[in-house]
Amino acid sequence: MNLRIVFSLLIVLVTMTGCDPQINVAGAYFPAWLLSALLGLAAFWLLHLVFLRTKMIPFFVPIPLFYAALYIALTCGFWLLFFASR
Amino acid sequence: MSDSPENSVSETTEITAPPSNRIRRTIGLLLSLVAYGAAIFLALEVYRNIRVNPRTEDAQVRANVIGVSPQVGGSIIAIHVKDNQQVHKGDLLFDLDSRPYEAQAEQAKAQLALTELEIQAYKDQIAAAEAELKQSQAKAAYAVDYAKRIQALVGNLYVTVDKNQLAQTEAVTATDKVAQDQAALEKSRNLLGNKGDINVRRTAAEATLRDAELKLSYCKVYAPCDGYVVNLQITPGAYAAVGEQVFSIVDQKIWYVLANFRETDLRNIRPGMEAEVYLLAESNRKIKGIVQGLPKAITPQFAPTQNASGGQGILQNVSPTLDFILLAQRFPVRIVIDAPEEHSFRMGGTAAVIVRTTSDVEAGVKRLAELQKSDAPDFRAPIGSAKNLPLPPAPAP
Repeated sequence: MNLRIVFSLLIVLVTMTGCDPQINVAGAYFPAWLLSALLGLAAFWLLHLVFLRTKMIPFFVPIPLFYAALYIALTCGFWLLFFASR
Repeated sequence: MSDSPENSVSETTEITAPPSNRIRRTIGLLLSLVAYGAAIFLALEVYRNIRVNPRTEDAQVRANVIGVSPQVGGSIIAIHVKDNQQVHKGDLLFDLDSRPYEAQAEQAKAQLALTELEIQAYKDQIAAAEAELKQSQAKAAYAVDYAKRIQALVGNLYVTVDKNQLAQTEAVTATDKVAQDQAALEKSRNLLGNKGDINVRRTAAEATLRDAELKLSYCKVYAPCDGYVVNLQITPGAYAAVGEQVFSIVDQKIWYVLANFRETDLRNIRPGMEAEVYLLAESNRKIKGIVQGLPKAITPQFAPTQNASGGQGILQNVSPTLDFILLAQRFPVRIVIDAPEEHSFRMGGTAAVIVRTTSDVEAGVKRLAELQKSDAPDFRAPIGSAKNLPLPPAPAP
């Protein structure tokens, strides 16, 4: 299951070589931040599975704040990686 | 239970035995701190990036559009272009029925010929008036001398008083005839219409002919610039009125994007800054643009009709309520596309724009001047001519 997610993420990485701030899905243009948020969510879920497997979850301080920060960091990271203007 | 701690998250998946709780606690604390730090740093980085390179998805492709309209009225007899066709400056677009204007031009030409004849007639009249003047001057000289001679004889009673009075009267009459003939000569000269070396009668007739020929030439309508024909929806036979648009030509030289930036972003945008333009029709292709200018005015949201005709007079109309959350007003920033030939621009197309506020403004301004420079000579349609009537050579005035 993890492999499948990693694979689909790789496909996304390969197809997004430019940094067009709009993503075209069948004639509807979605903003870049929305895709970053979705990517962040996928990576976030992947890490959550890793934390579950390693039984790490009770040791983060505090858990809700850690998860919020993790999600923000991932989403911003993806945005900077793919859509930031350099 | 293994004691080997794993720092990398991805490698922990391969662990068979989990680390002890104490090590987990340390890793958890470290990961938490890293996550907080990363979240703060990356969020600030995103904010900085957006502030330094403001972007908008609310942008549209624009071009200069010329409405093709004839300068004279008439029914269209032939259309030489098709809808969506590319045309070049000076290409013949359509013909109007030129017969009325041909007739007018012929009439003006005839009028010019007639004027030449009139001028000749006035010259003859002047010659006649001059001869008349000479004649009356001679007569007057004789009459005055005769009157003097008669006057001298009156005292010796060689002539009657009546004869003397008659001679005096004739002398006055002859002198007045000279003045009259002089005035007649002056009138004839004025009627000829020479002002210095120029004959104004001929000038007026020539101007009328030029105007008629210009109107005749307007029956052929040419492309005023290189571009594309759009919205051509008529066939020959349609009546084209003066100044009324028949179809449009999109100027292909300069393409713009009007990017509606929030007023908060405008502070950092200056003319000459480089802009990245993404056409949504050609996604993932970065197109270079240059900021040409920022608008000083848009229609105000509140009390827009304040001073307009039919408005509320000169007093402000202020709404008593204010929305709790205000949305930033957007202003259209004009961005000129650098090298538009390589891309398929269509006016009205959707675009996204990122302005790079750290780019070289001076180089941008220089490039902008190059792009907007017009090197092609002005196009004037060739002037047609009324054919059938040969024009007499204009004699020297």
